[in-house]
Amino acid sequence: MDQTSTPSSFISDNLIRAALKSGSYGKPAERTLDFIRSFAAELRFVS
Amino acid sequence: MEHLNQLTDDQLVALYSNGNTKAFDTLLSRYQDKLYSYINFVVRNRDLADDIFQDTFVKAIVTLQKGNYTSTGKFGAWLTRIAHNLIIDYFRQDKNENTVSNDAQEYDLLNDASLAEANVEDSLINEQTLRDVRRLVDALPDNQREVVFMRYYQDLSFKEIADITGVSINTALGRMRYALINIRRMSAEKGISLMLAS
Repeated sequence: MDQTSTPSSFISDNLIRAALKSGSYGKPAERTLDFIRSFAAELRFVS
Repeated sequence: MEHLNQLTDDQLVALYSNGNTKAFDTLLSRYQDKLYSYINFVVRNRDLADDIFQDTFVKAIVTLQKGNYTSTGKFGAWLTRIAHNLIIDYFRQDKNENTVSNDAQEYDLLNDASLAEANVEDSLINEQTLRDVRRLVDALPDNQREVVFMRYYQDLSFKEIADITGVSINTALGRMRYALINIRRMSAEKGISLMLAS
């Protein structure tokens, strides 16, 4: 470890990973998913 | 549907190209949460995230239907690259229209009182530490936040991150290096512990 580092200034990969994975970033709105499904089906039908 | 869930992305793409819309629904289900999380993390606005999420899939669908998708075995990374480019386009346009952009948002990390909360229980300390780390990440410049999220939340390699964001591997590594330096600097300035209680 860098001699100037202190325990409180060290950050591990695992801590960042745990922090980000424990966060909540929401989910797409159901109306958005419905639109995408319809678009995928209709475009298939048109082509 | 059970059967479709067991297929690879490329097999689902092939089925969808042949008219099986359930195959596309399976791809959507497989990637919707991860992709939305990435977009929302970067743009920090749920309505905008929904718009970009929708545009990403519309663009992907059109590309698939035209037969222009080249299989690399990394469908998720391909979707993320489309989303990344749409986010760049949005903020470039937003900047040109002189509205407030994501870049201009200032998060006053050092004056956020909740970062200095003292906790006595280990579990609370750990929760607080994880929350603090997320806030430190959130306070990073956009291009560093993005790399950190892709690496640690999406578990992408630096090669994949470089491909998605259109930079060299060295640039992606450099952004990560500066991100870690900045996180350490901000935590030291605020006296935030970056250790989990055992």
